[in-house]
Amino acid sequence: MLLTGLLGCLAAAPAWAQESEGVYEDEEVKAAFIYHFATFVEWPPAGEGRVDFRVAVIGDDLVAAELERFLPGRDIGGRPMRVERLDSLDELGEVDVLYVGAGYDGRLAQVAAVVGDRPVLIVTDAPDALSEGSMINFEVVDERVRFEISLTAAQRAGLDLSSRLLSAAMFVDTQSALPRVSGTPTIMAALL
Amino acid sequence: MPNAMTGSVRRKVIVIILITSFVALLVSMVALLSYEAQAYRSFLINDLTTQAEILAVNSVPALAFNDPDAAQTNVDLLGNRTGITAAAIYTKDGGLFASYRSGEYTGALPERGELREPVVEGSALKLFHPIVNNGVTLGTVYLQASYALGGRIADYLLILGATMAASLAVAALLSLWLQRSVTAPISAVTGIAQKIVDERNFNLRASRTTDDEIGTLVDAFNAMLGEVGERQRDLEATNEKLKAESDERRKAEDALRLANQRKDEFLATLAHELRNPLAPMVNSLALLELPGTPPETGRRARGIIERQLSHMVRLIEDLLDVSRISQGKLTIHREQVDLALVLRNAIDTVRPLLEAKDQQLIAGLPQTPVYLQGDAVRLSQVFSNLLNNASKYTADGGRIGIATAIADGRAEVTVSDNGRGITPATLDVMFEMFVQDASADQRGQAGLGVGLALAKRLVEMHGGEIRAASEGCGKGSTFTVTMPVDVAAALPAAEEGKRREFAGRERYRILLVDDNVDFATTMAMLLRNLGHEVAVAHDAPEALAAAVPFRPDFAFLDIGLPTMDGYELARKLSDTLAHSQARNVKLVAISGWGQKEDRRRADAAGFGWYLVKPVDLDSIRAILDALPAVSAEPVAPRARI
Repeated sequence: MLLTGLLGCLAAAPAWAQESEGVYEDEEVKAAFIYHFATFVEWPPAGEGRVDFRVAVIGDDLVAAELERFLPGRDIGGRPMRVERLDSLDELGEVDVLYVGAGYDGRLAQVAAVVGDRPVLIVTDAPDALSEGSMINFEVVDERVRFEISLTAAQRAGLDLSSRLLSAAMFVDTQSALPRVSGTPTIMAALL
Repeated sequence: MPNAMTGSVRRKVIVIILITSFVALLVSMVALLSYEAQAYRSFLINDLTTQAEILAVNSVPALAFNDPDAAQTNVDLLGNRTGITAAAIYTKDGGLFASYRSGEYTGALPERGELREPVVEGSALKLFHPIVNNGVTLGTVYLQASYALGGRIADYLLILGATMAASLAVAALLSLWLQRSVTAPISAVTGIAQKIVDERNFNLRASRTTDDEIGTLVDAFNAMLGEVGERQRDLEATNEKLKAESDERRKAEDALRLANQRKDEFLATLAHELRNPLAPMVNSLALLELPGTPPETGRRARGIIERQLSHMVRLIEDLLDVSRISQGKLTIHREQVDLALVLRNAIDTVRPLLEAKDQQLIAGLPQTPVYLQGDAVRLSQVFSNLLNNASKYTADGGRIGIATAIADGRAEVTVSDNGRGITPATLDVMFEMFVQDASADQRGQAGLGVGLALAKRLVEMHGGEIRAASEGCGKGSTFTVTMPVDVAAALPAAEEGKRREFAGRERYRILLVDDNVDFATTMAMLLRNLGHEVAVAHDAPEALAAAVPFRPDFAFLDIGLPTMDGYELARKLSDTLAHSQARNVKLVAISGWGQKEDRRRADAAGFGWYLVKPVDLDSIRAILDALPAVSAEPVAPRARI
């Protein structure tokens, strides 16, 4: 056991070096963020017969690869996490998180439309994506990956985002879309 | 401390209370501090863990989304808390993510974040806490707080010290107040005990004020005092008694010494007095034996011998009486006697002395008969002693008076003289035995100093009393004898009887047996002078031979005869005479021995009387006059030959 621990430490040593030098790839960071986003959301009960927690990725193979490497072994509320690579929106089935990478060539508004009012957390990596119906959007500021949130969009989808998530956000938009839920103005007022 | 325990109870009580309080407080203090030392650490760890937990939770987004600024804000916020000297957040890889150090923090932060047990290093408590999100460890929180146990203990010590001082002060005050109820009664008892020792007053009592053991002690103390007081009184009483007894004994010793001294003086006087008459008697005898002594000279010589002899006889009589008094054997023979006869006998006895000194006697005898119950011979002795005394202490040619008076059923006889008188000092002691006026006129008539003592005793035996009075030296003296009169006997018939008794005598034939020829001869002469017929024998055969033809009425037998003793002779004589004659002979024993055994043997041999030598003529006369014979006790021997 001790030996294993020591070996583990030695094996981990290069990773620290990497970290301390700040040489994370943005994809790697984004993949981790996506996982963390999921942990700050209060998820509605899963659909009938479905156990696993599905993260669908479209338009960013690198991030998908990172996620495939990162997610196995992790879970949300006891549901093991799984990655699904999508080539097109048509392939979108029952998922919990949909990441639309920068490489997605379609219109974001269409994505929102396809998803509709299903409780799917839509994460994007495109400027002004929030106005297109995205809920969380990556943005790199000063070579650091940051994100902004559209609380309105999330609420419209029936997803409650933790305030701790909001506190980490660079920007939280509560007006980019018309409220669909009666409780929203109150929340908005509280946030303002 | 040993000093403190040697003081008063009061002090000891205070010391005990203070020590007890001190120890109790000390134990409490140690327990409190031990607990505090333990509790402080747990408390601090718990507190710090809570802080770390909050920081960890708050730092999850910062770590999750790689936001060091947010983490820094959280850490800074925590850093403002007092007591936390350093805080840091490490990433899951161990790298420092955010950190805070207070101004007082001097050490370095751990280089890498890793989970470790809380540890105290120096004055710092170091604690690591994991940052977990969704079951995934994101990093580590590191907190460091000042671990000021020493200071805290010091603070506690200060507080406890102050508390202890205050407690002890309060305890001391309380004990001062409380111990009064304990020590005040003890002090009271102690005070009383000291007072008793100082004053020796066992009547003091301690007052009981409490119902506890001290109250019991007070009761016991008081009971003890009572006991001690009782014993003290007993002891004093015993001492008093012993002192009185000792005084009495000393007095008795003095009296004995005095008596002994007087006896010595008496013996000296006796020897002197007995020898004094011898010279004139020897000279007179020599004169009588000289051929051609003129008859007148011979008569004077015989007179001298007679006077000297009678003086010697009186001395010896007195001597015998002294012996009887000292042995308590002096007895009187009670009968009815006429006072006038008694006094006349006494006067007859002293008349030669009065004539020799040419003294005048004025006698006032009772004109009518006055009868007394008493011993005629002894009463005569009393008055002859008084008269003899008066004559002795009165100069030649002086006056001596004797008078009688009857008053209140008592006869009073006064003997007075105009002699030299008696000093008051002598008056006190003159009736004691052997007391004699040292400056008495001797003239060969000094006496033995027993006359007055004898007279006093004899008067008292007759139920009377004797007093002496004198107005001082040269003024003469007066002796008064008072005795009860025998009222019942004042009858003419009795008077007649008495007269006959003294006057009339029968004539008897008397056989006198004694181997002492002189005694036998003189006795025979005396008896013949009394008018009796006398036959003399000097031994038993002679007596037996003489008895039959003589037919004696009385036989006076000496017990100590040669060849056959008096007892044997008495029996033979009785037998012989019983055959030859009708009349019984009356046997009288004459012996030198007066023991009870001798008297018993005489009784058994048939003797009717028992006389002890020297034989008193009166006794013989009493027997011959057929006066009531006393069988066991013979008439006291009085030799007035």
